[in-house]
Amino acid sequence: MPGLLRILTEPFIYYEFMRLALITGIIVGSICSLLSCFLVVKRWALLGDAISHSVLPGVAFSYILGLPYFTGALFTGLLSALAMGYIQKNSRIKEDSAMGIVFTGAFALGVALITSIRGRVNLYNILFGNILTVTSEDFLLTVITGIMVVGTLYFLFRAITFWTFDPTAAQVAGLPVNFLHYLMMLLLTATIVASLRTVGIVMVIAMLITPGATGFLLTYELKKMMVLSLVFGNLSAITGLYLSYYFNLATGAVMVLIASFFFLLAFLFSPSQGLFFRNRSKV
Amino acid sequence: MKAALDIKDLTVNYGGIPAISNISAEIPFEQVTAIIGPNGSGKTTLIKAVLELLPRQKGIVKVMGQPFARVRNHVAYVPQKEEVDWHYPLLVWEAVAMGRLKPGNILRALGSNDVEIVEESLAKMGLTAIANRPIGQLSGGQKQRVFLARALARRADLYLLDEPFNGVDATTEKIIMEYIQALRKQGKTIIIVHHKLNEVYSSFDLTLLLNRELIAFGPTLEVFKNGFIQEAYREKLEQNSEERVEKGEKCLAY
Repeated sequence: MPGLLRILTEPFIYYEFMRLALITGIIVGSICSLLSCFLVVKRWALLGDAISHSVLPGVAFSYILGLPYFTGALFTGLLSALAMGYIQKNSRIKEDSAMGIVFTGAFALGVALITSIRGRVNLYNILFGNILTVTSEDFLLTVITGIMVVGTLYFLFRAITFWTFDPTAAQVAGLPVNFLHYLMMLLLTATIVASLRTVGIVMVIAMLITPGATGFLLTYELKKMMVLSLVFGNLSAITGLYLSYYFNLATGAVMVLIASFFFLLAFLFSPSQGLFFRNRSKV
Repeated sequence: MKAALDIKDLTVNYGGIPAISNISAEIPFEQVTAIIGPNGSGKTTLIKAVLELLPRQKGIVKVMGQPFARVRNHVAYVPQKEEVDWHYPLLVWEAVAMGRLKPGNILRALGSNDVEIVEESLAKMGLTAIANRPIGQLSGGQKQRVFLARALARRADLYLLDEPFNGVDATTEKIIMEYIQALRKQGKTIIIVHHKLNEVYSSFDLTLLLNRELIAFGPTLEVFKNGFIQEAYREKLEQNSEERVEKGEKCLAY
C-alpha cells in the first residue's frame, strides 16, 4: 500500500505546479461535465465544437494587442456564436451550415495569425492543452467560471430544464427563453476559455460531450445524469493527469481517451440501455 | 362581453408566402371551439401567431380582451407531442410539474401547493401509477396525457390544444374528451386544432373551418351541414381517409 500511496501523492508533494494542475483539472472537469448534460439534451454538441474553434483567433489577437489571452478568446467565441445565429436568421442557410462556415473561418484566421507571430504562441498547447502551464491567473479564471456555471444551474435549474425540453411551451409560459439562450452560450464560451490551458480547444469538445452522453446512457433522470457525468468527468480528469505525469503523455488527450473509454463501457454494459443487455433481453 | 379570442384581419407569412390571410373571428368564452382544416391549411400557424410565437404580418389579436403577453398566466398551450424530444431524461411527474413554472416563480422551488396541483393533474389524466416512469418509455397516448396534465397544472382559463387526438389510442381519446367536457363545465374556454374528420366533432360547440383563409365559422352542425367541409377539403377528402388508415396502423405498432 505505501507504494500506491506514494504514486498518488508524489507529484503533489514535490511539485507546486502539479497541485495547481490537479485542482484546476478537477474544476474544469466538473464544469465541463455539468454543461455537457445540457449540450447533450439540447443537441448543442456542434455548437460547443464551433465556439471552441472560434476562440483561437481571439487568443492570437490578445497576444498581438498585449492583453490577457482570455479577453480576446471570450470575445471571438461569443462573437462567433452571435454570427452563427445571425446568418441562420437572415438567410436560408440552416444552423449546421452556419456553424460550419463561421467556425472554420474563425479557426483559419486564428491559425493564420498564430503562424504569423511564429514561435511566441504555442499553437500545439492551445489546441491540445498543457495542464503543466496552468498559472494562478488561469486558476482564478477557472474558479470564477465554475461559480458562474454552478450558480446558474442551481438557481435556474427548473427554467433551464423546461426550456431545453420544450422551448415553445416555455416561451408561451413567459420564461425568458432568449436570456437563457444567451446565458448558456456565455457559460459555454467561458467554460471553453477556462479549459483552454488544461485540455485545449480541440480536446475540450470531448469533455463537453462525452461525460454527459455517458450519464445519459445510464439513467433517465437529469439530476442523476449530472451526478454521473460529474463522476466520469472527474475520474477522467484526475486519472488523465496521473497517467500523463508518469508516462509523459499529452494531458488533454489522455483525459479524453479515458472519458471515451467510460462511454464505451456504458454503451456496451448500461443495465437499462447497453448494447450487451439489450440484445440479451430481446432473445 | 369580450371574446376569449378576438382575431381581426390576421395575416401571417411563412417564408415570404402568406400561410394564413385575413382571418377574422371572435371565439367566445366557455365554449369548445375546433379549428379544422386539411394538412397545411395554417391551423398551427394560426395558434402560434395568437401565442406570439410567430410574427404577424397584419392584423390584431386580443386574448381575453388584452395582448397575449399580459394574460399568458391564464393560458395553457398543448403543443403537438412530436415537437419535443421524448428521450429527454425526465420523469412523468417532472414533465407535468413544468406546468407550474411562471415568470414570477422561476427562482423558487415548487411549493406544497404546486405539488398538490401536480398530483391532482396527474390523477385526472390517469398518470398517477406511472408518475415516476421516464417519459421516453410512454406510449403515444400516455405522452399526450402528460402534455394535457401539464396544461391542467397551469390552472388556466383558456386552453389551446394542437392536434391532441393525433396518434393516440381509444382510451386516451376518451380521457381527452372527458377532460374537455370537464373543463367546459368549469367555465373554461377550449380551442382545439384538429385535422381528422371523425365523430369527435359532435362534442365541439363551434367550428372554425380554415384553409389558408377562413372558410366558415359557427355552430358545428351548421358548418358541417352547409357543405363547407367539401369546400375546405376538396380533393383532400380522399387522401385524408387513407391517412387515417395509416395512422391507425401506427397506433397499433406502438
